[in-house]
Amino acid sequence: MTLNQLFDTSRTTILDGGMGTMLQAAGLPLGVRPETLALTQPDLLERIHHDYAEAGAQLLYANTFGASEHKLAGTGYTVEQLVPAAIACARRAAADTGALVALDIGPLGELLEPAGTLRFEDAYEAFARTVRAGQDADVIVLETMTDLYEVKAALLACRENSDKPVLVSMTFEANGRSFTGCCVESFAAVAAGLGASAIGINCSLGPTEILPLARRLCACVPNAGIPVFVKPNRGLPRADGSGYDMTAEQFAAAMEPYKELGVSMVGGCCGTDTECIRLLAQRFAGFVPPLRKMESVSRICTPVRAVEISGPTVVGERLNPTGKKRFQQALREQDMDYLLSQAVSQMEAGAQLLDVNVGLPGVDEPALMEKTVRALQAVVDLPLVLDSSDPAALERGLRVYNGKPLVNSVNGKQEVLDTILPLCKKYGAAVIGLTLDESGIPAEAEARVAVARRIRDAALAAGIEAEDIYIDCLTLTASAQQDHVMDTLRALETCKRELGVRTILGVSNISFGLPCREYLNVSFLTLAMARGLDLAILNPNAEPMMAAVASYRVLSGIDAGSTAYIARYVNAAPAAAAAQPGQVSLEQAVEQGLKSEAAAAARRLLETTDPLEVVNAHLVPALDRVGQGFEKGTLFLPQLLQSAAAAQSAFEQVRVALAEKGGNPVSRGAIVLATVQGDIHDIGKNIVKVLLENYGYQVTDLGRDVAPERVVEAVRRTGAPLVGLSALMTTTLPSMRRTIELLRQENLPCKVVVGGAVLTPEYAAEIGADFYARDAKATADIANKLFG
Amino acid sequence: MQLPLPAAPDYSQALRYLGVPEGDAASRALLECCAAPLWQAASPRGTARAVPTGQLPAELTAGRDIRLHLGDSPQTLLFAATLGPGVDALLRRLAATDVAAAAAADALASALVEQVCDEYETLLRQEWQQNGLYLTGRFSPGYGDYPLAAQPVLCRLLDTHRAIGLSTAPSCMLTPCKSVTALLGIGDTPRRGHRAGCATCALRTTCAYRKRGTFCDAEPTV
Repeated sequence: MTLNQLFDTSRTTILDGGMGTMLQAAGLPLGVRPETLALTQPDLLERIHHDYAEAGAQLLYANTFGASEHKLAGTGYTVEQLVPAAIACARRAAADTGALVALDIGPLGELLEPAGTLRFEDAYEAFARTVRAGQDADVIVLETMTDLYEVKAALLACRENSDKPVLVSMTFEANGRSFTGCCVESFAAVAAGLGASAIGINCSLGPTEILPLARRLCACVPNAGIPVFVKPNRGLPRADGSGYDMTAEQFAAAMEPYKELGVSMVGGCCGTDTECIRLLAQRFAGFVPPLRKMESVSRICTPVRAVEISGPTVVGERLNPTGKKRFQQALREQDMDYLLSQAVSQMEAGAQLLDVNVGLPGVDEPALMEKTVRALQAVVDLPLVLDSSDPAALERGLRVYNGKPLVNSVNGKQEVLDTILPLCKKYGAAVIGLTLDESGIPAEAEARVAVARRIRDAALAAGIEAEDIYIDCLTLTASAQQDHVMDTLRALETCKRELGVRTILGVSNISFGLPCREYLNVSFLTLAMARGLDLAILNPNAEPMMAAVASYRVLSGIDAGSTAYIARYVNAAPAAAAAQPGQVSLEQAVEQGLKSEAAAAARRLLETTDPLEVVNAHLVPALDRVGQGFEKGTLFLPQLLQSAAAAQSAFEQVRVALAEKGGNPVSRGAIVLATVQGDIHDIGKNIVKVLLENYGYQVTDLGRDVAPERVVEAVRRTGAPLVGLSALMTTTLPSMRRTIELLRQENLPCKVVVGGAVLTPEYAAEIGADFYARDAKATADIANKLFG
Repeated sequence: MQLPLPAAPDYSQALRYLGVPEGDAASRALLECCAAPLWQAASPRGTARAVPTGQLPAELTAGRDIRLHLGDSPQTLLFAATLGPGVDALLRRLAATDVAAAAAADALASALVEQVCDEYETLLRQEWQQNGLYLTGRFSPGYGDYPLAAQPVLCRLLDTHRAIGLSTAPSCMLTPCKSVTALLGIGDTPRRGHRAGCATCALRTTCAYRKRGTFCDAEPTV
């Protein structure tokens, strides 16, 4: 068996079956780690591998599934000891049949951030270590994966530390999603984009249950040269725990329907044995799989959301500092919460993708892009459009992005094409191309199409599929270049029809400099959609724009039965101003926890009152009254929080007003907050943050699972006189102690307040904290007393 | 295996987690708003396996309380359940946008995972009863003097990562967060197990329930 034969889609490769089953049949006691057998019982492994090879298996998975450094901890063996030994067993067993040997890599057994505490980079390193130890294998297999982010870390580790082909299979539930919610289509897009040599499904289910998922996979794995493979379990587990419910014959018979899908590699997983593989090999001997029926679909995705671009799709434009003072301030302060709230609000308005631009003079754009992508994807599952002209920023964002992104943008300039297209190819991203080049923006449609053609050809040459190319024919401003408005539309139509690419436009530019911009934006958008616009970059919180898209979808038949349109508008009143039944004051809105009323009241007050006075004379006294009620027990935590949220929305208005004026932000003092290393419980800390911000403090929230060094760095950077640390678990209290020790060691003149359910005043004193806070209100009181 | 969602939210338990008295209508209204998104985000799963008590690794029988709980049960049922990562994602989103809803949803999610565990336990209890065997209640790492370090061992024995997508972080915390692991004793006579009690609890000096003269948990189920 050669590598070419293995991956040849015009024949069927037979893979091996389950190792665990065979080991149990050989009497392996429960609790013995199977990976250690490579050194303690190599003959046993060799015999099992040999039996599979004799039964017809042409690729043997070495017994290295759990041989990662974390899983081997406590066994007394290292990755470097076990992996080569396991591969050697398989290699000896393969000698007389010429079967190939795979380094088998399973999941690390720990959830990656943000669900867990394992950082993407650390997962990468763990995989890289196993890959480096597995030099002697012919190929690498990543299998039984449930987390697409882990797949990415592993695939990058393989591609950057070896040049062996990589087969990747994920495991799904019957509903077509993995435990982490990853769908089949997102898996295919990401695995193919990152250079997998074969893509498949294994484990969890039997042949019958996997069949519909395999059919989907065959349709969505792009590129006919990539084989699709399956390794089902031997049916489903019996309820009494005694094994699986199919005989070997039933298993092999249930694999028969795979013949018509175009799957070109088959094997078995849990419960299967040499008999299953023997029967499978007989059935598929000499079988030539049909070509896979691949759909030609454009997709941008996150693990849980694969957005198919067919018909106008909305890209939210608001995460962009251009012309937005408040946003610029948030970027300078690295205020992730503000960015997140903008993202969520666009999502709730119906945006399908989000454009992300954090380019601002004076900020470290590459670092900020990475931080922003991480923060966004922890909270919002919309796919992202990474918007930057800095290749370093794009690369940082591309590396940590979980899914298949869209890069905004390249253009016709050779240098740009040469720098950015390879990045898109490496990270499996789709790409937007602007029809401008070294000589600027061509006025005439034909000239723009010519630039588009050059971009498309360069992208195809770089290995990017046509379905992943989006051409932006550039929206000019009607006020300055009225004669060429229609050129944009003509160019768009031609590109769509003749170049086989998708199209995108940022429509808002059309109305720059004219009054009632929305009328022009809506009309231009509608004209563009009628000419074949695929992606529309717009403000999803501007309802007339969303209405234009919703209407077009009805008129063009995309929204069959007008279902989506009706759902969006059936209960919406026409845009007449609702009667104002008497306005509440800011104090009343805060005390009653009324968020939008508080924002409105603050706006009114700011027309006549200085922002600082609004905070000190109105907001803070209202919060004090609420706080006292909480202490007395006349109101409870939910009301305290609702008041805090109302105060927050009022405070946001103060910030906006100050940003407009260019004034300094309100600050009673700087405070750093963090949930300590190893802990990701942060509800308490978040409540403290809101309360402190409402009292006018500038809070730097470092988030969860924060290393002591980061706390020290933040205190040094902000000069914060107070640090708040939280931990919920007894096992993470040592991290709290270490953090305080480091702060003292670095001679930082700050006080430390600690809180969390397991903390006591005694323990707080023992670890050197200055204050113990029983709850959020107590923390605020401590801060108020400290800052005077 | 996939577990069904409970028919109705346990608002009373969620109110207790929030430290709010039963009758507070405003808090209840806030919880009710959180229920629908939470139910939609949850995908509860559970897994359980019986093992002879004598074969349990030392980490799983560390401390006095778990041994009292298992008593003379010849078999031990290893138990794990989770609401899935979707609930964590919802809580992260709320944490960034609505702190009141975040606290309410967090409390309701904690109540939900207990409900899911109770219902799964009832199912298991019925299955074992068909063979004339009885279960104690659940006893989880972290109760009494049962160390959290037992949690990763329990997850490994149950292969929870592969079975239900549940793992432990280095701090022994469960991920996804809204999850439970436990041991139950199995024997041929009805058995209660052992309540951890306040004496060995890590929170005994600061517990708000103790100060009010009550307990953190409702009556035992058996």
